[in-house]
Amino acid sequence: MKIIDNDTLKKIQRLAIKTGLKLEGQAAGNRKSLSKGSSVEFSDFREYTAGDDFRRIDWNAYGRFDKLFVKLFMEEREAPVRIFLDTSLSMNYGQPDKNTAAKRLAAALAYISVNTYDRVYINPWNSMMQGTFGPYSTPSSFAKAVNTLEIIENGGKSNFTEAVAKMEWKTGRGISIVITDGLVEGGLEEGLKYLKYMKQDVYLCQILSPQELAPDIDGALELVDIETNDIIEVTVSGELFDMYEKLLKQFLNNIKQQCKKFGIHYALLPSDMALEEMVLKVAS
Amino acid sequence: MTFVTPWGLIGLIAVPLIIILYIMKQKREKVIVSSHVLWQKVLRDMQAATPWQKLRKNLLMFLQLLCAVLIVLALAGMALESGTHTSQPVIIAIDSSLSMSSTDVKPTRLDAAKKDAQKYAAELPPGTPVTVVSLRREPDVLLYESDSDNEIRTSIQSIEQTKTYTDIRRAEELLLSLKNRHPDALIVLFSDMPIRVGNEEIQFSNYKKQNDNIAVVRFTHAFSKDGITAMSILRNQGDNDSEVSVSLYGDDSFLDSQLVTVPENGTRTVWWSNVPSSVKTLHCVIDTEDILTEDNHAYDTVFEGKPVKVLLVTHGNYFLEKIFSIIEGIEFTRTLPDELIEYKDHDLYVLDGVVPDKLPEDGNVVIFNPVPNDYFAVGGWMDTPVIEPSGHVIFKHLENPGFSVGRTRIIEKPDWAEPVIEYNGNPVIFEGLINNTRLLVFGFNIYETDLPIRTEFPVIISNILSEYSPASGTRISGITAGEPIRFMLQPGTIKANVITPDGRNIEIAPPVPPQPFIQTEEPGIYKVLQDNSLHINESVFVVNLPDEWQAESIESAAGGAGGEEGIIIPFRKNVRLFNLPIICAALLILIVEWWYYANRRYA
Repeated sequence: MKIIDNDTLKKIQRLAIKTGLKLEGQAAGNRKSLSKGSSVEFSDFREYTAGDDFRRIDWNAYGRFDKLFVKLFMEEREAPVRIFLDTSLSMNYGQPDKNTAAKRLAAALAYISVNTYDRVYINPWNSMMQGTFGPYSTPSSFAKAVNTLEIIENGGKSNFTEAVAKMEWKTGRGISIVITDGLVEGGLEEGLKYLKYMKQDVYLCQILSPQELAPDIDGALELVDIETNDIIEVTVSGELFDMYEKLLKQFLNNIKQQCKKFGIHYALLPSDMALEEMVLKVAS
Repeated sequence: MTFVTPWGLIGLIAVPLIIILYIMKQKREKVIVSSHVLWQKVLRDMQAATPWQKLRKNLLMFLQLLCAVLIVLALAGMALESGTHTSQPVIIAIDSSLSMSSTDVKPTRLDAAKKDAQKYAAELPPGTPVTVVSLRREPDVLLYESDSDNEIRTSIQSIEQTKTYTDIRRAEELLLSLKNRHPDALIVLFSDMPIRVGNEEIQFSNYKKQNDNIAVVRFTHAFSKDGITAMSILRNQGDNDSEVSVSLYGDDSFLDSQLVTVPENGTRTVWWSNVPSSVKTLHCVIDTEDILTEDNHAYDTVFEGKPVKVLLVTHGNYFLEKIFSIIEGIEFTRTLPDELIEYKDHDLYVLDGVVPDKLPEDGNVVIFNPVPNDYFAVGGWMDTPVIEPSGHVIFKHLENPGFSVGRTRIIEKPDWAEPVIEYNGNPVIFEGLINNTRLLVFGFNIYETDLPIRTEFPVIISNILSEYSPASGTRISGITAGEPIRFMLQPGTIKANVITPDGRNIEIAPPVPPQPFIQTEEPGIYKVLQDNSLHINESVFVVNLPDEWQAESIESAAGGAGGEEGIIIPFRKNVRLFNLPIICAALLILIVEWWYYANRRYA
């Protein structure tokens, strides 16, 4: 399944260049600070972009290539971008389905990160981490990242707290982007708190389908949970919808408040939102 | 609370059916959702917020149950028993005829009718004037326009079972006359047969549950060379053929028995042959019991075949001599007035142009062409009297008896006599009783009439023989229960008694002649004992039950007193029906249901 086409990629590229779009987080300030000492280790080059510290310009590379390049140091390599992608069955829902939207967003964010020479890891999760894919750090490795995203399959129930807690972490700051629908057993709070504990700059991208935001069901129904196959019987009525709307608002507001409380960037993204909008919303 | 049409309650079967339909797992469409996280919260909060939410699912079921119950109540005619709305006069007519003693309605139709009538009367509004009428052979007003509960109850209770049939014509006349006094009166009839009263509306409470009754409706006999042959006719009033056992008794001794099938709504004739001619009484009885056992019995008396001894005293009367000589069953003697020594040893004395100084004491007397005498004043002649037909017994079996008379004696009617035919105040034919001797006097000479050449003549003479021979005075037949009898006692009788079938001994004479005997309620064999101081003559007569079915059918077919079709409506207790409000409530529920469906957020 092709999750991102060339046209969309170009849009993202333009967007990233024009607006200097990058994921800024608390770690970003650290990334800009000079770190002196033996632990500072040259890692890689990247092209100079406006705003870069010109003291980092590698003049040798300039002399060689007649282009400005900046040096990247290991310190920066300690701040990877981890994309925690919810691959539970609940993401296989909606029209357009959340899974596709999530993967597209993950690909777009991965691209932006790779474009700024950040190391990107992709961590699919459901009730546990399904592995760590990456690092993807160069534009050329972006294709691999996309490929990874495309082949990841959905399944199982979701339990974010369980998944991150059992993950093997390399210590150090970083950016964690959690892409999920938030319909998680036990909630997201503990998982997000854990990420903050792990000194992550956290972005929460909550993707919900239009059918979840405004259900279009009628009559006497058996609602089957896609993850658990549990059934509950409802008879649709106006009152039922009013209650759902109210609780949805509460639910979303709750998450928003939690994020605010913990200093987490939060974006609610309907799955039918255009990718560019999603990216802008996340990055803004 | 009552139900006018209780069969409608069978609709309650819809209640468990509706519940079963709701209990059965409702087919629901399966819809995949991403997670129950929110939906479970929604359901929890909804149930917490409104405790009756669980019921809400079943609200429609309850509405439909309620609707079904209301429809059933309307079908069952739910009603509140109450008094009439106004104190309109009420005429309660209760049939006490023979058929009301049937036991298809327990304990009997009459007992059930009386009980219902008392209950009905008790539920009338206070102050309602009630008239109680007993319908039978002679309908009787037992209570007139009384509002006393006690009097009404007592008068209804006093109605006794009779063994007669209801004279429908008289009943209609009586009820119509009562109704005419109060046009707004309500007539309520408690009977087993509807009676139409003009074109008035009558509420009829029917006590005929079924008609499985077989009755002996005719029983008679005839003499034959082999003895007596008896005949009984059985009538089946039911709707099915019936096989019954019927027995014959002679003088209370068993003679014979037969098993016969009587067709539905039809009759069957049963013959009994070789009955000994020595029997005096015959009793036919249907052994198989049915709803009315009273009419399973019939009685007949066997009269001795003794010839009637007739003495004709005449100077010469070819017509009288001829007629008496050819009539069977009489010993006829003719004599000249001058040859007769004394009047005795005969049953009937026919005197033509002769009136003795001393009337015979052992027989009755018929006089033609009287001459002046000591018993009644005989004057000159009256020419061509007009003879008007009379209903007298000597004209029995004649349709329009009439004959021409050239002239008749002018006679001063004596006090002891009654005219049979009179013209301009002059008795042309009259009868009476002198010292217990019956006299029948024809004031004309038979030669001066066309009577001898008319076909009525032999019939009139035969009727005279039947009526005026002394044995005929107590040779009574065709009496039905309750019918009065006028006995003509034998000459010389000074005392007479009647022994009823139930053993009562009732003195009927003196006085002589006796008053009409009315105590014939009980069917059976009655004995008459006539004491003439020398010996006691015993004779019997029988009383049978009427063929009520036939009698009432004839009367009913003849039409009511008003001559028009009345309106008979089924008896309705004083009830207030609730059909209309119940149906309105059911419709309202249906409208609410429709509104609920129409205004749901989703269809």
